[in-house]
Amino acid sequence: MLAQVALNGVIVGSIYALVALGFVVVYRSVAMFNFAQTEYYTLGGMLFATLLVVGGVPFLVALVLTVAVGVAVGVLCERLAFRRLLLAQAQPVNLIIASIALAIVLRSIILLAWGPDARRVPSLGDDPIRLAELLITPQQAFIVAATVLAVAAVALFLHRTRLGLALRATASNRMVAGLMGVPLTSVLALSFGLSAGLGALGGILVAPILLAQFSMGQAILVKAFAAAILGGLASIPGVIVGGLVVGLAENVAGAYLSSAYKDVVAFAVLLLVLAARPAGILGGRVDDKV
Amino acid sequence: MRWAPRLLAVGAVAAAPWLISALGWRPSYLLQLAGLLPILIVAALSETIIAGFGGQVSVGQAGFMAVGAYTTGLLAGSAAWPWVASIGAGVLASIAVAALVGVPALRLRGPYFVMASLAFGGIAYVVATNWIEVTGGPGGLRNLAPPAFERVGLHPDVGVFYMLWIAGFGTVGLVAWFRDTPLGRSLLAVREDELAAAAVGVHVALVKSLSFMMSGAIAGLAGALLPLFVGLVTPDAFSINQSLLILTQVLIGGIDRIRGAIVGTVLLLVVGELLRDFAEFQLLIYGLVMLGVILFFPRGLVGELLARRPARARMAG
Repeated sequence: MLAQVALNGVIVGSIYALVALGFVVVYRSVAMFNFAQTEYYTLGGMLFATLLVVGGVPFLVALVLTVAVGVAVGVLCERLAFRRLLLAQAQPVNLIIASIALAIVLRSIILLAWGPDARRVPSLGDDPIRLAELLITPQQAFIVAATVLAVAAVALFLHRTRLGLALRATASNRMVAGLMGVPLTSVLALSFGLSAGLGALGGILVAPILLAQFSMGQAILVKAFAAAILGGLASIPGVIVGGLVVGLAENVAGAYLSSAYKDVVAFAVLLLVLAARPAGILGGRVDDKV
Repeated sequence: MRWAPRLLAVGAVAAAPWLISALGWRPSYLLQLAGLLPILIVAALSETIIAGFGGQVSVGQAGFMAVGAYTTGLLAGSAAWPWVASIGAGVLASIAVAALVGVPALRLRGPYFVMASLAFGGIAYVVATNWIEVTGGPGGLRNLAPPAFERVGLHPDVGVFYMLWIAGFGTVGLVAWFRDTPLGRSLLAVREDELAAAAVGVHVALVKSLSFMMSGAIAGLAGALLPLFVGLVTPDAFSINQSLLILTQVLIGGIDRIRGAIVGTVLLLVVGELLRDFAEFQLLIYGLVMLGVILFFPRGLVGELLARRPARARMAG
């Protein structure tokens, strides 16, 4: 029983990690939190549902198309909502408010476009496969595999490419990076696009098991953020651990304590971590090293 | 100090019930709106303290409102306490909760504080919806009778209206007083530069936690006034959207000014009512307005107007 609950925790936790990674990508390039991040996740879920169910588009094509739209929306949002503030070195509090406002706008547009109803999304398969003592459906296996792939790709990109270096340099000091020849505007577009794409992918993966609904992003916001904070914000392995911890904590609590208060557990974990270790479990100091 | 506009405001509120019934156009609706206004202003002022004076954006003020509202509703309802005592207890309860939540909040800045406040608001909402034995669950607490104003010859709606505005004016005065106390000024110093403030002897942690409790108390008061106003307490009044609405109010008017909170609240109430037929677009419009304000008028409407006044007039004002 506990092992099965833990496995479910890992599956949900990998979604949290994926969305949290989107937070981290933006944080590492512009040192801000994009509170609209989880709305790309909603957009991913809704668009994927429509393409698959209404459009009859093949699974993989729908996946690629949805991620592409997510990236495009992310780039557009950066241009419209953030660039003016980022280039003007606006106060952090203004950036926070701008991203909250953007989240409201995106959520409202999604609600207007798709309505309030939850949508069922066909999965890759719901017949559980027996793995030792544990049951896992093909869809759940796909979630974990896709997350691992996406995280590995992002890690390689950030640490093994010149563009990744440019991204990290921009986080350290936007102005100096600009003077050193880092193409600022493309770095901004890239990091916001990448993080939106990760969010959309999270929505695609989760939609078949949790239904797609306009409020799904709001529901995951605190959990993904908790995952990012737990991991110490700057490190990719940290984010994965963070996502898994949050997923495990809420599933174990949901199974053994009370399912109604499952969400409260994630929130409480966040508050406790913030109180005890604001730099995260794995994180040392968040800043500086490029 | 300019007393004329204040006296005018008090006079207008005192005469409002008669003016509204003399006007004869949907009197109960207008009185409702005019009674809602002070509650919204009080809620907005709680954000002014924490986000404007303190520089820490909170998206969990509705959580404190919930604490105030449920405490007051339970005491005035099943415990049959008098309303004023119930409201006082509601405020005290939110101060206690703010002191508790303030422990982690003290150490946090920027996005961490935002998320902590969001988590707190989320917990309050989930508890309000699920702790059915105490909160009544989604149905909430119902049938709370207003104070017996008939005995003093006042219509209950009018009596409640005055109570709400007394609380509203009192809070405006309290916040204005707070800003000019040593505590308030220390808070402004901490907002500008925490390190520098600490260097000149400001006890940063104490200032932050006391201000946080002040903000929680005021949000709790706004919540405590709700059951008096509508006669019931339901969880959906304390969703995340309520917290976002409060933030929008202070942002539009000017986040660090009392006048900003008032102007923003009035504007949002009026616009909200005008857009009532387009309810599904309401949140979208608020979001766009918020974005526009932060991009183009980050000081808010009041701040922007004051900045454009010639320097001499500003000195005199």
